[in-house]
Amino acid sequence: MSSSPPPIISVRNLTKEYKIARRTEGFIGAVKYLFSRKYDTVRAVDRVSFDIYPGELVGYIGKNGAGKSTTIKMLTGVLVPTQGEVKVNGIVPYRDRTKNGQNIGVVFGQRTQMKWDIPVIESFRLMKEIYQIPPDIYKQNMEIFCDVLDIGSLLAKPVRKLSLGQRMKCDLAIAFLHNPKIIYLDEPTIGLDILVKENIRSFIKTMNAERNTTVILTTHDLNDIDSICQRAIIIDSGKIVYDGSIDAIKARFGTHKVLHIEVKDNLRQGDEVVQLPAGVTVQEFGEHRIKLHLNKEAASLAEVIQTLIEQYNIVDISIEDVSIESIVKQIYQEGWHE
Amino acid sequence: MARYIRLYWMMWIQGIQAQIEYKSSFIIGNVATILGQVTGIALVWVLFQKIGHLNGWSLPEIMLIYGIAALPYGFFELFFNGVWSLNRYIRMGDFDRLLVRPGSSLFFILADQPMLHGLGNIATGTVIILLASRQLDIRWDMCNLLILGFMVAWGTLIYISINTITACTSFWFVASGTNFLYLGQRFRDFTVYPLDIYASPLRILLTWVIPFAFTSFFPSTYFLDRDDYRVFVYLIPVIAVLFFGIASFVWRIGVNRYESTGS
Repeated sequence: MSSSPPPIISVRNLTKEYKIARRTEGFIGAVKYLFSRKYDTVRAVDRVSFDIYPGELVGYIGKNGAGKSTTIKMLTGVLVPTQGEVKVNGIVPYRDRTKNGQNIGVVFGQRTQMKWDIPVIESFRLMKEIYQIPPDIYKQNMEIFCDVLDIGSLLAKPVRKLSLGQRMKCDLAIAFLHNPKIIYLDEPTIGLDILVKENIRSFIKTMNAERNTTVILTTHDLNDIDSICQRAIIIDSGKIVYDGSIDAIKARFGTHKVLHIEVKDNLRQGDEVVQLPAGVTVQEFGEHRIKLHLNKEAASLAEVIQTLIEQYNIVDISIEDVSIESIVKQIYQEGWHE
Repeated sequence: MARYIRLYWMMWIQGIQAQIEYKSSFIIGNVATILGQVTGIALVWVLFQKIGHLNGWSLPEIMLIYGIAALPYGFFELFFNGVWSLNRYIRMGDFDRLLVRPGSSLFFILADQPMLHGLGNIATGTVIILLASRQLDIRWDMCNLLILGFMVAWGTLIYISINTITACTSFWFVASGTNFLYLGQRFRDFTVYPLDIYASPLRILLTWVIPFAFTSFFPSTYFLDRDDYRVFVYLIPVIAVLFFGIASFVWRIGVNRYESTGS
């Protein structure tokens, strides 16, 4: 590791606490709230530490309220941490927002950087001015973005007339316009259809490959993580529960399979599948369908299928890998034990 | 600096472009502003049909103060009205977007929402000044125009400062909306009249705390040759710079206290 460059993002014991006014219900409660406030302190982010190296593609994963956005906001300089240190490209983001702003590009999922009532191209021109982008780089980037993201035909339209997917593509292009070293994407694919998602994913990967842009991504869509990122940081209740490669997660859970079985028999709730080996759990049972979860290390796939064939009149069987979604859920619940 | 001016100009043009999209709102806004100013001055006129003077001030003199008061206010609206949208920015979580840009967040918010109906204030103000000057025999030669220009510029900076400070309350009390801004702005109503008609607490307030007197009354005394107020005329730039310093300081504290929205 001695030859690797220093981390571009370095976070140590980063903590953010919010004070939330405590309210009691009813009219009396409302009146009390008016005159005296008691506060509860909530730790949204709790002593988080990690390093991210130039060119890494990192997925920052967690449930709603786990502390993802709060972390991103501290990294981008929007929020001042309660405790701990954060350094991005050698700069403390909230202390030097101007300098930091020049190094980063940000997409906040639902919010647009563009001005609502005027044509898209105007916002690009404004960003060119704000980030002082040299004309040749601006021209070159616009050509690439129009090509890869297919936004050329949108530039003359007012922003309010764009669809969500079109708007997101434009916002993504704006975030990359000044060749930032680091890109933060907070839910970039939320609410988008699969084609736009694919387009956005391949664009991010291309930019990373060609410019070594460091990408930090939060998302609810684990397919984003699966197709874009090499590394995942999983956060729950403000604490990191996993930090490592996506491959390690897959290797760990790669022996887990999901079986979908369709049968002719009319299954009734309450009937149980008998004599299943250990390591198999029933996830669904009813109508004409059975869904099983099994760990190949504990139970033999052949044995399970054999048991089922003896018991039921089987129409169809399909075997799937466990989705990252359920893997993450499992890590949330059980933690990551080596 | 040159960069900021170019950037500002671009943002302003785009802001205006966005507003012109809604033509009726533009027209109604300006008509309402002009009507507001005209009724205001008409009220003064009616008053003066009953009284000959107000604490020694004649009608044209008061008209001059009234007209001069409208100019920095109009320029503030036309160019720097954006602080009024700070509360909305914070509530909607959109303030985040401004904080990740390279450059001063105060600058970006000030340039955000130019109000074209500031034109209405500038136009009526100018007409009222001209009407008053005819009777007062004030000549608008190059020198006087230049001095008025400077006074209006400093006055605009005072407007920026006061409105920024009141807008910053949103960093602490998001739910207060723009109430503090309205409250601050209400004191503006006093400054279309001579300062010396008020009791001393109000005089002190309008001079040293919410220094609107430096945007209308003190500048007017210069053109009315009231030498007794000359020291306050010299203080105009000092007050403007001082209050802008305070505004920037409060802004910085506010931004560092900013807590963003949930998601």
